Amino acid sequence: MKSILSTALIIFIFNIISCYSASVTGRIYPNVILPDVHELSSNTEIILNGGEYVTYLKADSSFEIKNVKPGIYIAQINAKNYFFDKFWILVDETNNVSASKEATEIEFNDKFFKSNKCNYPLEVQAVLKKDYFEPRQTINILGFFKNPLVLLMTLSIGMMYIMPRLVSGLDEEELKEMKRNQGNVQDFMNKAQNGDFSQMFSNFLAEAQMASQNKQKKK
Amino acid sequence: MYKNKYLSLIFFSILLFVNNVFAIYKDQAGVIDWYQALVGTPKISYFQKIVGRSNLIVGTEKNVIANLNLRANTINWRQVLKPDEKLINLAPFDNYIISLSESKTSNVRIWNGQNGYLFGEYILEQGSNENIENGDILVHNNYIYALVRGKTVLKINNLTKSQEGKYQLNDNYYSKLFYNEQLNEIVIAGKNKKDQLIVTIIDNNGRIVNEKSISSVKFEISNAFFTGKNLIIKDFEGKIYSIESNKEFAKSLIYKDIKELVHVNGDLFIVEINNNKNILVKINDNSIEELKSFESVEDGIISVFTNDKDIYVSKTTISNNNSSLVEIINANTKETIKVFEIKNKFTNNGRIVKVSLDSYRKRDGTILYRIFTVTQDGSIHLYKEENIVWDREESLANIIDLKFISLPEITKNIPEAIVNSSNIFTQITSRIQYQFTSIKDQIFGKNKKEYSGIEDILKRDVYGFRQLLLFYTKKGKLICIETLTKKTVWTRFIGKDIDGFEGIKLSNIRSSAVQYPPVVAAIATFNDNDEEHTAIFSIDATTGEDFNYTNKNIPSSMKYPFKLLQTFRLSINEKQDKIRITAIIKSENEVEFYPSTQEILDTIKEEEKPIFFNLNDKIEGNTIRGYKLYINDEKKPQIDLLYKKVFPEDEIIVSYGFKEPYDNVASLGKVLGNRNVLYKYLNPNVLAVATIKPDEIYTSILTVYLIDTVKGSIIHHSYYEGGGETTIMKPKIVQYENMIICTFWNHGAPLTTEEQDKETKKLRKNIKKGSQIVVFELYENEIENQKDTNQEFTSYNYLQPYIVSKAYILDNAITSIGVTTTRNGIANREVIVSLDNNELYGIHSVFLNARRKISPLTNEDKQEGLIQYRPGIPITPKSIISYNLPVTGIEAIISNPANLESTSLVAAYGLDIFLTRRSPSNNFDILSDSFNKPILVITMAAVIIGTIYSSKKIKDNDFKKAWKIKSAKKEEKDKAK
Repeated sequence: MKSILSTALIIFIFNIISCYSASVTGRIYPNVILPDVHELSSNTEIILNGGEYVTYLKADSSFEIKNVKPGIYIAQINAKNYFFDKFWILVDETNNVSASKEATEIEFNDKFFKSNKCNYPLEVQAVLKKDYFEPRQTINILGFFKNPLVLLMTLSIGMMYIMPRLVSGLDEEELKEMKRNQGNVQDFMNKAQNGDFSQMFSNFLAEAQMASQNKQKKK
Repeated sequence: MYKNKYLSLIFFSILLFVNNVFAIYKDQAGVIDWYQALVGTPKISYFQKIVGRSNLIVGTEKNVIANLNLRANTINWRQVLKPDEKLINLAPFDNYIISLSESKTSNVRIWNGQNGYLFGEYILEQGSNENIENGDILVHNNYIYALVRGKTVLKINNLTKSQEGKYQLNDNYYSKLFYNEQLNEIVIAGKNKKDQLIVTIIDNNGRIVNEKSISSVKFEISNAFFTGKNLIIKDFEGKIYSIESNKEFAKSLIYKDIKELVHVNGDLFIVEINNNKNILVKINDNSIEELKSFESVEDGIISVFTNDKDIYVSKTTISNNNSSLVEIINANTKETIKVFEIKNKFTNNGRIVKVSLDSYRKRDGTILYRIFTVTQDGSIHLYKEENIVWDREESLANIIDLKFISLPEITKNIPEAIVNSSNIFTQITSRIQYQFTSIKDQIFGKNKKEYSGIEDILKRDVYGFRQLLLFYTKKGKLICIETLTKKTVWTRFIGKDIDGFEGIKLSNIRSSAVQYPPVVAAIATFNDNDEEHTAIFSIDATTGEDFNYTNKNIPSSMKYPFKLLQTFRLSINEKQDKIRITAIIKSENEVEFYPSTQEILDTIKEEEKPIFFNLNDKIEGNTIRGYKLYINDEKKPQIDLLYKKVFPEDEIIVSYGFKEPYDNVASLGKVLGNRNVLYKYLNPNVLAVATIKPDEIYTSILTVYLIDTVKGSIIHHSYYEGGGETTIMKPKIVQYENMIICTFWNHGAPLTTEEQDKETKKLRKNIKKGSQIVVFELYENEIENQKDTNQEFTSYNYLQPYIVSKAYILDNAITSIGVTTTRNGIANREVIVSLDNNELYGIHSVFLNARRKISPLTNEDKQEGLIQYRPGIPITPKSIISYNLPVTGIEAIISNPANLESTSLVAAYGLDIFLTRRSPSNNFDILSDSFNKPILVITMAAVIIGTIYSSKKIKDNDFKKAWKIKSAKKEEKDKAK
């Protein structure tokens, strides 16, 4: 009888002791980024403060970090292929645990913590699937023809065919005028190359005016 | 909201710096890199039936728990414990594996044997670190009893997954747990400080039933066993004692003197008597009964294993030749049931040191045996009876040093006349002849025959991607692996049969040239008659053979009767073989040179420049000493102490700066946006040292000192509140060019209270818990275009550098740091860090820049390529150079240039090994992999066709014009007119 009592007492005391420090618990839930949580390997670690406390993911994708002393911790999940949110964990003197999402570049402060509190036990979801590789460019015929250089080339080749046909339809007078115009454009280009902008524009505008006047006169 | 901000930051930076990130293509994975996952040398190994199938479970010196594949050379799963956690024991339990490991807490974990998932975890807070090795696991029905740190027994109920009890013992030197089935009691035995046997018996509920200590027997605790009724002990003299559970004394049993006692089951034991004879015996209450003896009388290892209800005992002979005999006896029927021979490459692996066996039934009902062996070098081997299934070079998990060896250029068929002739004319003519024949060979395809094997590997390729990686393990094994194909070129076990061999360092004492193969020196310490000695071996790096000096007086290996303090390579060559001299510091005023001849001393004296070196405390020390080594007038080497720098008492050194031996600097200055230049402070003698001291407000303070090692002056010193270390993240420093990068963990600021004044609150905003990277850039002068007028740098010139620094935070803890090196130092340097989530991450130099501005950028800053300062370094998956490979336990990252300026070979080692090629500035010197060759071909073809067509057309037209031929249409038109 005595022994039973003493055992009961020991168990009771032990239970009190085991309640003395807190456990940080949580679970990883599936989402669009990570539809199947079992994709995470058994090596997935949950660590507090860069290694102060470490535990591993269980098969049911839950985790429990035991015997955590009061303090402030950063909780993070080290998994292959996925990024997860980081959390601030606050274990207070009465071993209550509360959590908030962590923000890079901001040190823990009460105000931030209170305004960003999240559910506890932690409900963790993947944030991003890691895409390690650069996509390789494939040969895309359509894409090739969308290339501005190629477009220009095809256009100019096209012009090569079309132009003589257009020219052949003109009478001699119109041909002469066109040749003169071409000469003007040549002149214009030369001036542009020499950087003689003012003259270039004045000439060009003047000629344009003359041409329009001529046209009007013709009419 | 913050999540989005964080994400957008990542995406923004990806977009912004997409050109700065050198990511690989999916099809390059495994082509430009290779990876070797390791588990380490097993200290615990056994076969366990999990869901009816055999599994090989190992617990290793590297604190890895792994399930190894029995068919292929792969790991089914592994759990790598954190660096501060030590694996003490493993035990099978149904389909689970129970592990006991010790860190600052005692951890009992139950793992799923099939997939490695954690099933249950029980943690016990511990105050002191005493007797962590004294742990044992006992499984009985659904209960797990774990003895931790020699004094506490945990009782775990696996059905309810709860810890049912924690029982404290009255002594803390217990180390073994046994179960007494008859009385349902737990027998706990140990050996206390007074070398007494201590035994405590507790009942199921932890109540102490009996406690006793016996001092009459002198024994080792590993030689204490429980038959289910009595404790059996072998003492130092080879006598066997039996202790009944209710008696207070040990009863001596009359038998021959034995050398070894192995427990089989119940009262069955294997004893080893003289002449290496092993006998299966039954130990009764008062007598010992011999049942069956092993036939072989060679030295061997006894192993016990079970299958169904049968218990088997095996003896595996260990000899210095290449084969071992395995003899298996069924302990129930007392019959020899199998004898076979396994092959072990003794010269390469050394003797077998550990054996585990397994038996399994094939479908046709025959029983087959597997044998798993661990050899002296640390490698592991699995046999299916006499046939080898696989070899794993697990010695690679204990690398002391790793060196890249560049290969010599193609030396084949170079005529003697070119190499050795002193007459220039004959040299030239034979060179021309040689070139001519080689051209002829190439044209007529003589050289086209396939080279096979090692010969071909030992040729340098055009880009220099093919190099040798020479690994040197702690136990003295040299493993040479080729970088392109991961093929092992040669292995050599120099530590075999040398007592207490411990590898120290590898040193390239001759790099390869056309006519000289590369030579390395492997330096080690060993024991001889309980005294520590030093040895140095000269080894030809292409073959692994001893290097024979032309001067026959120089031996290829040397042994010195002292323990070395420090060793380094001099820049002076031995004349005949062009071997660099190695200095081995014996004490603060004694030194040995290898090779050592009078001629060499003379050469050192001729140099006139003294050699400066340091004897620094190891990590956790606090002193740095600088010395000068020179040859005095009596032609004897002399060492003078120059300075001794002691850090304050509570400050301990936690890290020294690491420099790549190959550190070429292409540009002496940094060109700024306004086309002015800031000249780099390129003092080769700068050593960065990080120290930590505890602090009341902040947990600790980390200080970085930049010290000139020649004169011992502190160039710069800066401290970081909250800076410190965690079990995973130790401070690390890497130095290159004028840059110093230090990483450490910041414990963050303490919580502020209302009482604290505003200033303290302001201060604490600047630090954040997490991993931190500090970058220092050293310049000669703050004023632009100011260059030190001296042509040659000397530490004795007064030149105080201008130092810029910035601190950054990274999301993950950093376990080690390295930097890429290129041939001429023109390409950008990329800092490579290994993270605690088993990734290797490349940080582009644009982020780790101390000149990043906090204020908005001006046009000049933009031209310089600066980006605005943000404390966080974004983690982009494309910069993870190890992509999805779990590169675990990395302790060092080293690099070596390839022949291509853009490319650097990077190797990371620790537990796993990873080798890759990095081009931080992209492949500017070769056509990039992303270059679209088909488009080029299509465009070229189109242009050619166009040209041909149009030239034809023009010719046609000209012809028509000349003959005034009108086209049919025109004629019709004219006619119509």
